[in-house]
Amino acid sequence: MVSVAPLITLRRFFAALILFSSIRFIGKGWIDTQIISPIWLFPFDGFEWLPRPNLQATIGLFAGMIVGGISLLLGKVQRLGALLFLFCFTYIEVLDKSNYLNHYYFITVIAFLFVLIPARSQQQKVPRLSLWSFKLIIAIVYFYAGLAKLNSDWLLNAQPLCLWLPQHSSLPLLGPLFKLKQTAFVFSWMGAAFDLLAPFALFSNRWRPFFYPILVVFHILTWLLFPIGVFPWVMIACTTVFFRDEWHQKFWKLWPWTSAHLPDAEQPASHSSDWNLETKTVLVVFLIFQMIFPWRHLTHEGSLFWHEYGYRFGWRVMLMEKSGYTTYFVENSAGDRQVFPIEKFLTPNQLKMVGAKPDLVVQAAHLIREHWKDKNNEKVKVHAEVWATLNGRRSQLMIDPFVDLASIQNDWSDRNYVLPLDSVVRPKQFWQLKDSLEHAHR
Amino acid sequence: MTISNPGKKPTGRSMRPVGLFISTLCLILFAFGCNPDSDDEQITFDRGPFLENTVQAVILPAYSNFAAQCEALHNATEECIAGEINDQDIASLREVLRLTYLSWQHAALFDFGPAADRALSLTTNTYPTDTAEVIDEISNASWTPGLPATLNSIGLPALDYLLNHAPAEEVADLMNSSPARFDHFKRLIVFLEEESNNVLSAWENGFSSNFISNTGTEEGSSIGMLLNSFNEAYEQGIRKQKLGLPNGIMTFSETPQPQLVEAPFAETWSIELMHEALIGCENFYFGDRVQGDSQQIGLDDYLKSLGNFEYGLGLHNEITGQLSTAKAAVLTMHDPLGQYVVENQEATYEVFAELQALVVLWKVDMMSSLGVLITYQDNDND
Repeated sequence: MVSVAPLITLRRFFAALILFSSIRFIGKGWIDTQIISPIWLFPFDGFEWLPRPNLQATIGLFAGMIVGGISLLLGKVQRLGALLFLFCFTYIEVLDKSNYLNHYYFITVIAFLFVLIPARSQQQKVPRLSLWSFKLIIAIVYFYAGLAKLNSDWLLNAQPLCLWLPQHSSLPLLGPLFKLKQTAFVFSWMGAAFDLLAPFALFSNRWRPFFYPILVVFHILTWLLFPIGVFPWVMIACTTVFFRDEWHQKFWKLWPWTSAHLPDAEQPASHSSDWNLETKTVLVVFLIFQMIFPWRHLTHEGSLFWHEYGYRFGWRVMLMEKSGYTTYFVENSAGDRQVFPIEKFLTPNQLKMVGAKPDLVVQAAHLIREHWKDKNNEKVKVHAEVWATLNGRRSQLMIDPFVDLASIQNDWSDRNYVLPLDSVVRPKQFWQLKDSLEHAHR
Repeated sequence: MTISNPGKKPTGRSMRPVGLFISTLCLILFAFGCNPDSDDEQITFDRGPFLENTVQAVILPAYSNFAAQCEALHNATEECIAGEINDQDIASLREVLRLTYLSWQHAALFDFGPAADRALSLTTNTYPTDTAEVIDEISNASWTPGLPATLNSIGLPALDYLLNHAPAEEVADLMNSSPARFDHFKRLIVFLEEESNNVLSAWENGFSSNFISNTGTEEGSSIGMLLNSFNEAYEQGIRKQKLGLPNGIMTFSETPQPQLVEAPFAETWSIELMHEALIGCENFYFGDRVQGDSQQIGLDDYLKSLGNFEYGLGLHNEITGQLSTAKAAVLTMHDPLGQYVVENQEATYEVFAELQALVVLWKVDMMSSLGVLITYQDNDND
């Protein structure tokens, strides 16, 4: 059994951040731009059946997030509150892949742990596993993010930082440094080292005091340089769970006018609680799953960054400058083709994602086929010509332009419709060869 | 393997991070080492000066030339004496209209801010024009231009129709025999002139300075609006509208649509306008004055400053080459373009491919090299 103090801090910080994050989402007008006004959404695989909420239902879901957040903050009916938050938040999260963020997923994972793990200040002592679960998840986030950086683009070409950092050359003080290519290399290598070291340094009582200030500087820097939302603040707050019990006791004594202080750790553990076997089993299975799931791409050949099978839910953060330009063609039964004006159906952000993510290219093809069927009562094949660029490479064809994408399902199988990376054909070469290639294909 | 004294447990555990840290430092030094040509990798591109030059040397000249041409067009109508218009008047009006059309090609690339507020592109150049509606409006005393319902019968395309639909003598006769027709012709020009001045003065009074100082990269930032609008104008306004729709390449039946060319009634302007639009793109890309001066800060300088890489200088060279190829390809076609797309459809497909190649270069490769994360919302996974 260990002290509950770090868990209380984590619960309160986490709750404050999810409340802030929910209110920020509303304040930025994203309910309208991401949920209500898009013509089409791209639900996660397996969630296509989920009803799309109207404005009232969406407001209800956000109200649920806020109520759940408050319950977590105060520690009243915490597990039920966490469940309410988890449901509402995840509902919104799975509606559209093009909004996927690693930190949304992180919030889902932590909220799930709070459904299983109570963190009441009356408890005083909790099973070691409850504290370790959170620590392990945070360690995974850093370590896996570090492992993901061990690739040639990141280490040998300092990509994508080589392309991103010069944009900040007008910042005061550090600005001029961002013009230098060397800076991109230093940032890349330091970033990878930081992520890989973070778990060890956080677990080590000796190195944590030196490491934590570095961690704060690191995250604030990423917050200043990249549009990654509240993620840096989430990590700065959540990593305090590694601190000693005494720090938590002292920290909450700084707010004497509130009832935030924790009961004295020296008191006998009158309310210590253990859990039943079922909860423990679920927790252990969940943690093992978290360790294994990010490796699912290993069963598939080719470049992970290119086919993106297994890219999400793996703590791959800020690794790619990838964008593309997609032209969709619908082909009728006579074999005639017509350009489909996809840009009229997608938000700018969705359009950007459909240019870069193969599974979204396929999903959009399905939506196009359905739309065409509804509107023209005609069954069509859907092809896409996708010119995409990855980390400073010249644009190249990402998707097999002769495959009927509407007949492909996004599932666990190989993404054979994705062409190999670095099979460089320039656009004009391709257009010259297109007819003969297509003939051969048929 | 264990360097530390096993008796002191905490130290033993923490030596591992230290070892890792030292090896990391070595690796960083190694990274410096394998970066041989570090002399010329100083990237000198600031959004502030880039925006300032683009406004001063490209956008403002584009709008003021267009406004000046609209005014010249207005003046040319004032020189005509109602009821006594002759074919010489029509010929000079036609020449001024041609110049106005040409100047519009440059302004059309910047459809954001004041131009978007006033829907300048729609009121100036919605085509094909509805000729029956143009005729109907002649007798409409309470005609109010600029309403959505009038977009198909105003602007340059309506003027092209009224001035070019028949030989000069016939046009002059029609204007003389129907004073309302000449009046309507003038009303159309006055509206065009007003709108061009409205947008120009909005740029000159306040919008320019806000635009230059807004150096962020979020959605709605200057660089975001500028690049998105340029890409849109090129892809939709030039590639698709000027050639892709008339030659039928985008439809099932691939039937040419000669009536969809720009300025169809003049018969000899369409290709020149397409070529001029490419010159406009070139001016924007190089950041140069319309007359041409390659010393100023443009997108080309940014790509060059990225160094001798595929995504830097290599990309710049390809864009420059493709611009020349596309311009030359456009000039291989012959006016009247409406007739040409019917008789030489295959040849126009090849020209279209040259235009399309620039879409990929600009929209994908260049945008990626610029590293401008135009942010619509949070994004941490790219």
